[in-house]
Amino acid sequence: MTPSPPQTATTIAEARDLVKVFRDFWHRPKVRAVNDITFEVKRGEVFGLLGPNGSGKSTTIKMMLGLLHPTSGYLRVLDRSPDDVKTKARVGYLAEESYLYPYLTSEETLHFFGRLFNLNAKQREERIDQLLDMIGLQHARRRVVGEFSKGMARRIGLAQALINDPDLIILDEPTSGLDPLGCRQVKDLIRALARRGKTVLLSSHLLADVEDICDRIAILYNGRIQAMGSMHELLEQRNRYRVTLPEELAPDQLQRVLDEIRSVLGAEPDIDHPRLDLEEFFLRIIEKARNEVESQSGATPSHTLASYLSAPPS
Amino acid sequence: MSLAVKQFFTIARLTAVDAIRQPLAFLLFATTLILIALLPLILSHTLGESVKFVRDGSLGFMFVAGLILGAHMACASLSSEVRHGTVSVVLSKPIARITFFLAKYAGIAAVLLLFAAGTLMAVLLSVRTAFQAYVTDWWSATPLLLACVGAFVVGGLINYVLRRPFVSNAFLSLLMLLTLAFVFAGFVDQHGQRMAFGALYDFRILSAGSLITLAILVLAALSVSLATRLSTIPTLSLCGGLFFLGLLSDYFLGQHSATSQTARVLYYLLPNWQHFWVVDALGGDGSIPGGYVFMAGAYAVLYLAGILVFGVMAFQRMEVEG
Repeated sequence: MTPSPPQTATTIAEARDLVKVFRDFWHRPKVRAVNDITFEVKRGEVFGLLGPNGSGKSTTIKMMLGLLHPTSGYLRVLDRSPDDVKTKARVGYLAEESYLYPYLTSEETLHFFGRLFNLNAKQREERIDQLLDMIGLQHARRRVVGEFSKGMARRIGLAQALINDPDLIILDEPTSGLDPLGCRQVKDLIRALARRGKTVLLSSHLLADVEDICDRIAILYNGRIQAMGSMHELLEQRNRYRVTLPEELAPDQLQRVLDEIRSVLGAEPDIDHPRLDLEEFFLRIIEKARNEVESQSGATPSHTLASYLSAPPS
Repeated sequence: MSLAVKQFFTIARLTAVDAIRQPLAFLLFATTLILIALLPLILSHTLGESVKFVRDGSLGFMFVAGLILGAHMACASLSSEVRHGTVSVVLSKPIARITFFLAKYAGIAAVLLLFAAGTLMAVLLSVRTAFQAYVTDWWSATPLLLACVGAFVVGGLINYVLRRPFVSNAFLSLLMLLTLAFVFAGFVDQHGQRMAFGALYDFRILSAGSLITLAILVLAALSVSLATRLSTIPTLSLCGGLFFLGLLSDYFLGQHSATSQTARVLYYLLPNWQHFWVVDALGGDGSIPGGYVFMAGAYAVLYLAGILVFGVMAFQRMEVEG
C-alpha cells in the first residue's frame, strides 16, 4: 500500500456539513441521502467511500460532479464549484453502471468523449490506442459497446474516465461486474495512477477491494460518516501482536521458541499455518493457465499504464 | 471554432448516429416507404381519384410516422439516457447543459429532416406512379420498390463483409438508393424514354411536405423538452394528448375563443396542427401560396423556439439521479 500523504498535502476536494435531501413530486422531503458529512481528499491519495447500498456514497459523488445540487453545506472540487466546467475538465468519472451509447463501437465511444475535451484527432488516436491496450480491448475496438459483457463495458467505462488525463479520478464501484482477474487489474491500475500523482476517490461496498488500494477511507451509513481515517489507523489493533518466524526454521528450533513463549506467558499460544487469500490463489492458477491458453475472458490487457497518463498533474 | 460549438456538433452528430442505429428508426422509415410504394398499386382502380388517394395517404403516412419517430427518438435520446445513467457520464465532462440539450435536439432534427427528405421523394415517385387512371407507371414504381428492397440487401452485405452495424447502413443505403431512384425516374417517362428532369413529378407536393416536416420538428421539440423531466411513457402520453388536442383545437377552442378568455388562451397556447395539414389545397390545379407557407413556417419557428427555451430551463436545474 502507498504511504498516506502528509498532512500538508494540497486539498483536492473538500466537503463541509454537506446535506442532500431528495424531494418528492410535491417538493416534500422524501429521503435525507447525505446527512451533514465533512471530509477532505488530498492530492495523490486514494480515498475510499465505503458503505452498504443506500448509504449515500453515489449521492456524494454525484454532488462532487455537479450532477446533483447539495441542499446545504460547502463543497469544493479542485478549488472550484463542482458545477464549473473548468473543474470538470480536470476530473475523470466512472459511473456505477457503465451505460454508454450501446450502438457505438469502443473506438467511437472514446473519440466522442475525447472530442468533448477538445482533444485533436492525433491526440485522440494516440490516447485511444494506449487506453485500449491498457484495458485489454484492442481486439474489440470495432465492436459495439451494447454487445459487451459487463466486465468489458466496465473497462471501456474506465477508459473514457481517463481520456482527458484527469487530476482527480472518481470511480463509483470500479470493480463491480469484473471477474477476479479484472478486479486485480483495476486495482493495480488505481495504485499505478496514485503512484503517478493522480488523486483517486472511489466508492465501494467490496471491503477487500477498498482495503487493498485505499490510503484513507470514510465509512458511511444512513448518509452519515461513521468512521474516517487511514487504513492503518482504523484497522490496527494496538493491544495485540503477531510474530512471524523465518520460513526455514528447523522443527527443533521452533519447539524451543514455543517452549520459551509458553514459559513467559504461562499459557498456550495460538499457532497455525499461514494461508494464501483466495484472490491470490485464484490469480496464480489463472496465470499458470494463461501460459497454456492465449486468450482469457474477452480482454487481454497490456499491464502497462497508458504513457500519456504518466505525466505528473499540473 | 469555440469549444462549445465543437461540443454542440459532437453531441448532435452522436445523437443522429445513435438514432439511426436504433432498429425502430429504420423499421419506421422502411415501413413508411414500403407503404407509400405499395399505395398506388393497391389504389390503381379508384375511378380517377387514385392520385388524390395516393397523395393524401402517403403524406398521412409521412405525418404519423414522423411524429412517432420524433417522439421515440426524443425519449430514447433523453429519458432513457437519464434513466440509464449515460447523461450523468456526459454531463460529468466539461459541457454546459444548454449545449447538451440543444445539441440533442439538433441531432434528432437532423434525422427527422433526412426522414422527411426520403419520404417526400417516395411520395413524389408514388404520386407519379398513380398519375394515369388504370395504368401503373412502372418506370417510377420499380425504382422505388427496388430501393426499399436494395437497402436491406446492401445493409446485410456491409454487415457481413465489413462487420459494420446493419441498421445504420441500411438506413443510409435506403436514403441513397431512394435518391438514385428519384433521379433516375426523373429523367425517364412512362414509356421508358428520356425526358427533361422532373417533368412528371408534382412538385406542388413539396410545399405540403415542408409544412408536415415543420409539424414533425415542433412535436419532436415538445417531446425532447418533456423528456427532461418525465420518463418515456408519460412523455409519449403527453405528446399524444397534445397532438390530438392541437388537431382538434379549431373545433373545440377556436369557435369559442371570441367569447371565452380561457378558450382563447388555450387556443393560442396549444400547437395548432391544422396549420400544417393543407393537403386538400392541392386538389385539382390548386397550390399552397408561398405566403401561407412562410407564415406557417414563422409560426412553427416561434413555437419551436418557445418550447426549446422551456426545455433548456427545465434541463438546467435538473438533478441527474440515474
